[in-house]
Amino acid sequence: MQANSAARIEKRNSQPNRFKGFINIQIEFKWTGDKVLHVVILLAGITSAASFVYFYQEDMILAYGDAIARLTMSRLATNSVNPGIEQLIGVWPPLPQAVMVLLSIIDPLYETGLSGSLVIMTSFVVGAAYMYKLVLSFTNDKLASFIGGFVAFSTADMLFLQSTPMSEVPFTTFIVMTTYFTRQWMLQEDLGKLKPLCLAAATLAAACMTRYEGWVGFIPFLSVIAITHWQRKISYKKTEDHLFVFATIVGGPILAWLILNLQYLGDPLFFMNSEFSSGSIARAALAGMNESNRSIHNLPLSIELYARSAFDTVGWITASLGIVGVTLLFFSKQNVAEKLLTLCLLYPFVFFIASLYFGWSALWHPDVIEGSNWGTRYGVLMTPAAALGVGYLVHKVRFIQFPVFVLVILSTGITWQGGILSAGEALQNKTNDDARIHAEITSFLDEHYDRGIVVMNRFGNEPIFYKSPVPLNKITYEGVEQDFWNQALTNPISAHVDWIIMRGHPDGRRQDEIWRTLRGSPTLVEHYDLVAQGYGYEIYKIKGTDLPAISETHPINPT
Amino acid sequence: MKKKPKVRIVTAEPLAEIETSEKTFTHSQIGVFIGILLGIGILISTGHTQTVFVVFTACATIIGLANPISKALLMLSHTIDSKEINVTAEQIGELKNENLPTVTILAPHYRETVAFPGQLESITKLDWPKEKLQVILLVREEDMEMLSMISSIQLPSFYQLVTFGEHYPKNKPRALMFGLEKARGEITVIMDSESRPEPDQIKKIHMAFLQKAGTNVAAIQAKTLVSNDDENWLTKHHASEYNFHHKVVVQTLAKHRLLPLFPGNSVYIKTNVLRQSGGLDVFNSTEDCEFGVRFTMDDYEIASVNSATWEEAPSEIAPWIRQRTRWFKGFDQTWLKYMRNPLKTYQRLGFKNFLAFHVLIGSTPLIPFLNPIFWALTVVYLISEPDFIEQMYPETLFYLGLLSMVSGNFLMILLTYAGCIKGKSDGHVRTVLCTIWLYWILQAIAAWREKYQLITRPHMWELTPKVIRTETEDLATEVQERTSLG
Repeated sequence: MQANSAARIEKRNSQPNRFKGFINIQIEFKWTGDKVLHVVILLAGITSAASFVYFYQEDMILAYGDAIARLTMSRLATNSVNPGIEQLIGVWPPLPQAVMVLLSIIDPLYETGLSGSLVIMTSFVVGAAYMYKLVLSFTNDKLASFIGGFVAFSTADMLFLQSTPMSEVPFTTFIVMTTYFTRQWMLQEDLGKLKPLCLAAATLAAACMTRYEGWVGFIPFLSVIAITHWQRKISYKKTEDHLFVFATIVGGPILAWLILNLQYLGDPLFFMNSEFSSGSIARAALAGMNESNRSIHNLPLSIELYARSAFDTVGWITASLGIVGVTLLFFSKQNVAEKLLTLCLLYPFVFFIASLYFGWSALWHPDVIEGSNWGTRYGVLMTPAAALGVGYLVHKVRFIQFPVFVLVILSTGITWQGGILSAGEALQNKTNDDARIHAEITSFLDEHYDRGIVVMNRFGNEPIFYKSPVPLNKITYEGVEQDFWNQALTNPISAHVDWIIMRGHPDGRRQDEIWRTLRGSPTLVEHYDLVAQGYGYEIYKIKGTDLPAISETHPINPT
Repeated sequence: MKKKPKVRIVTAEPLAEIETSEKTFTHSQIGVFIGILLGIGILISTGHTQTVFVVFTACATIIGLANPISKALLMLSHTIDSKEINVTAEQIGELKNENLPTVTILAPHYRETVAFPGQLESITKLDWPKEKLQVILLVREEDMEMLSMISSIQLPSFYQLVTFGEHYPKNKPRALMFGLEKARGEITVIMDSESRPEPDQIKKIHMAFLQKAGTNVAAIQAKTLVSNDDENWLTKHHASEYNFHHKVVVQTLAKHRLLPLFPGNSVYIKTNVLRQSGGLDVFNSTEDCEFGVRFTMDDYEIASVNSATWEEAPSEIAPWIRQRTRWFKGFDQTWLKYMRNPLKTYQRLGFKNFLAFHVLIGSTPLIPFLNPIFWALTVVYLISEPDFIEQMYPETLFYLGLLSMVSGNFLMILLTYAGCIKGKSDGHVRTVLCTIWLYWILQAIAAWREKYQLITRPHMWELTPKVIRTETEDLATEVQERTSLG
């Protein structure tokens, strides 16, 4: 067997490489040495900072309720009744919030929202750099890579979203990196060198821990890897080994996340099953809509909604140029696996349409459903595909380089001027009824709260957490230790609760757990006074303590 | 009590006097150990049980994390740049026989008639002038089986049979020291009965020594790899470990001039260095690992060359556990020996190597020893959530422990994968993923067995029976037949 093994190895090594020439482009990148890459990083950094300053001045950094929620989660991890990892466990994957923790401990950064924005801005710069490298790996053309990788990547919506603590930009960055590293692996003569594949898996794992859409990305990337082995006539056993390595690196963090959900929330699929999941929210939203506006089980509408969002967020000109470029790339001499890798960047398109069709999520486009653009920001996930397409187009049709460069900038300018779709969505978040009522409650607490423990649900009330004068470590909410939370709900007196803020309507709408458990209970009536009410909120304050009394019940009734 | 007979070793050059592992624990170490136990007792009796738990868990967590992280860093460094000396066939072709040095192979055998013929064939095939090769066959006088086989065949002229009688301890390093006494080569290598060096190995080693002339490099190592990796799940794991250790850890340690984990078999050491350093610690179960520490203390360095020695891994659980018990015991003996005077060890090793000494030698047998305790705690916690476990884990420690458990185990799985991918056969990853928990349990059994042996029978040398399943089986049968006929 010894000799056989040695002979086998020798035979294998002595075989001529049948795949020489099969690989179109062999490029070795170094971070140092590529001056255009340095320019991309520098310009991306400047653009990122300038955009942040602009949107900060416009008071749009924390316009999204979700942006405030993510920031609050990151702060609660170090500053709450039960600081710790459990504060990061909930309906969202934890990575962006986990990274924000490091900065959210610094008060000025947290209070300005910069602790969240800095993380996302950094991911934008990294994303631009890898977008450049990805286009370069397809074209070996630095100018085309600059136009595709930086100019087309820096769309108006990307620049707005990178200024806010939201997860779309880091997710996009991780998907670009996964595509880049997968391609680097494919370009090798020896597919057994797994470093790029491991990096691709690690970045996909990071994408999975940033947004749940990443979990679906597992399928196209794994398929591309399998097809690449099949094309290169790699043995089944070796293919299986490589697929297992990739799957373990991606699947390990996912498994850990499911276990953490089970341990802390009692349900490994809490993010899917809870009342706070995007599916539950989508179902609630769809229930209140006209039949004709519901995307569920309506494929043409699902396609229209997402396609419009994608075109509007990427910019119609850039998106159109991108489609031409991706089509050219798809019909080029690239091999099947390389073409499929290109399609990996397009998988969010398929996923979101399926998601709308099956009712897992909801998306309202203002041109389709008047007055709302909820969820339109998801269109931004198509930016990398468009950027690759633009880069490839200017590489293939060289004489249009300058016009395309101008057109892409024009596209961004028009989008910016005409109203950034995701910024519009954020503005709606900022000015809707919920935002106004949150402002009312915050204002009430500003005036009347001076000390004491407050019971309030976190979900849906994050702006109150963030903006009110109540210290975070004085709030008892569903994220604290379960026993303590149950005690606060069933016997708030024994839990030393001074204030109770509950949300709900007597007719059963939007009732939170506090409302459902405490409202009308003898304990509440006996020990607490209703001090403010309105718009589905009631605020109670403990009786007979030295806390300053509130003489009359205040209305919370925004107009 | 029967007095243990000892034999004084006399070599051509006087051996330096070395401290040995004859005494497993010194009085001061026992004192420290009792002091710790007393301290724990006092803390518990004064109501500070939680403090004890916290300190214990914190230490275990740090140890548990340090080992996989250090290996992952070595892996990372290896992927960036491997410093293996690459000797080509052309370079070998340029060598002139008259300029080659004499090389001594120390070949200890004890009841290894199955493996011996294969080794004989393998050594005979070595591309090295036989007049410059000295093979010292080390056999105990009582091993009639081996002696009978040897007498039945015509040993090549470069073979020298050395037999020795009653001695203590009855182990391989003691036998090797008898061989070292007779060694006349400039370079010495140890070859176990199951070792099968590649034919051009010594020439590559010689070229590597020439390339490193004028440096502190006093040893060159070839990789030891497993030939029967496809046999079953156990050999797949063993092969993965070997691949990772020899292709990544050993090479990267050498690259960073860190304490080498001498892999025993395929290390070619300058004979004078071996002697000047005092030879081998005959009371240590991993004499190679122990020598590596002294080698570093004496400022010598090791380099790697692109050659391999193939050997068979135990394919059955019992021999595997015996072998692993012996390795763990040797690591512990080495750690205890150099922790008799930690300050002196620190001064001689320096910070970097002192750290490596603890992480790579000290923690290796400790982690599988501690694992069952934490597995049990996890299971008990998940079933009944008792208060005492929650008390053991204050917030910070809990996260550290969680991180250690999740990332440590995840890293270990990935490193095992790396070993598989670097191996000669494909299709092992699925098997190792499905059986890694079983492998960890076996390691834990070996670690607990080792701790028991360390106290009760520190110098016992458990043999790993060789079951050679390769082409040498035919050879063994042929020679055995000749023996019986003879």
